[in-house]
Amino acid sequence: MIYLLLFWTFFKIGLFTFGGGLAMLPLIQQTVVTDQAWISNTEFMDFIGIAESTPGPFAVNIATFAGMRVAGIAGAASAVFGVILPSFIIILLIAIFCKTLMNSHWSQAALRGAAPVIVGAIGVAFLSLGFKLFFPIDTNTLSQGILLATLLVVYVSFKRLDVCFFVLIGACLGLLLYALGIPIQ
Amino acid sequence: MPPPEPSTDESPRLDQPQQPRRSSPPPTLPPTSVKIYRELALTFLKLGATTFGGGYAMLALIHAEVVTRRKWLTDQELMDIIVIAESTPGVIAINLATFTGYRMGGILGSTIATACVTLPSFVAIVGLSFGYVAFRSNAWVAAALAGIRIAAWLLIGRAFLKFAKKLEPSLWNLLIALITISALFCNISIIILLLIGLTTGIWRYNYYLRHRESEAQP
Repeated sequence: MIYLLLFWTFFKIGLFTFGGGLAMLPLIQQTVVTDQAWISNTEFMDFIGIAESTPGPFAVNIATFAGMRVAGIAGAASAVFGVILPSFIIILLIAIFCKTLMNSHWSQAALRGAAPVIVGAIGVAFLSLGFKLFFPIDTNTLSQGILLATLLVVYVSFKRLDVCFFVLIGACLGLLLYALGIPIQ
Repeated sequence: MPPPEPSTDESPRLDQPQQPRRSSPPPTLPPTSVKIYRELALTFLKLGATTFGGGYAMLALIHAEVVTRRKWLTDQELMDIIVIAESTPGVIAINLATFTGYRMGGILGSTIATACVTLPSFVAIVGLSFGYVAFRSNAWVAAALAGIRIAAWLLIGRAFLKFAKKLEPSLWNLLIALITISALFCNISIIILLLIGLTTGIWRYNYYLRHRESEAQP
């Protein structure tokens, strides 16, 4: 049953999410794009741009989006329920049973061990998505280069980068290139 | 800090102050009351609707709302929650909402806070994905999405730099990162790699503790 599968897949993603932001991105890519083939790499990239410029936790946004694509609103609800349930249960258990703050040295040590895995996995996701983004035949490499260079200039010149603003600039540049007659695709 | 009051006596209080005191501000309500549930719901709906980019971006806002304005938690309590949220698996924004909700209103409070912090983005994304499916074949929307994709790719690169900077520069970490990279090219499950990473973390800490003990003995 698709709802149960969505729930279980995102339960695992919620359970193995350490650290905020895009830390769970490689895991989502592997399970949702590669293994289950629920969404394509292109859609995944679109989702990242949209999810990062929409309020709310990234994991919840991505779960909603993938659930919607696979099985509509009920699918989105099961995916979101799955991704938040591990956090909810674990924190509730800690809040109920640990009256004094637990000694978290061991869990912090474990997380320090997982940190290089997360760095390596995000690096691989960055490279593999980059290959899929820049090397298909039907894309205009020149326009992509112009867009990438402009975004890099924006990235470097802003000290505190507003993610929503950054994604919006990307969208405007894409529109501008299309209006100029050199679209990316 | 006082331990959280388990919600054993919620039900009688739930319906008590509801009707007669609605118009005038209630004098001194017990901490676990309808009022607190409503405030939890409103606060976390607001936080869910206004925080971009997840957990860490949320911290400043949650501090302003929960510590400074509502005075539900002290600075120290919020720090404790952050440490717990960081050292347990799960989405940090959800962890923060669940913990604060439990402190203020027991299990029901934590359920309300968690649901409310999730709801705004859920509704927004459901709406957006209808638009995405309907309009993505439109040439202008496709052009904008092509630009968004490159921005998203750079954001992944930014996340990589951020996590890499936080990593302590040791030969061991470099080795584990390289093993991860080569394992991922062989399509090994990230969950297995994370489990290995967690285990080595515990194993190294254990080694460190023993080593320190044996040094202290003579």
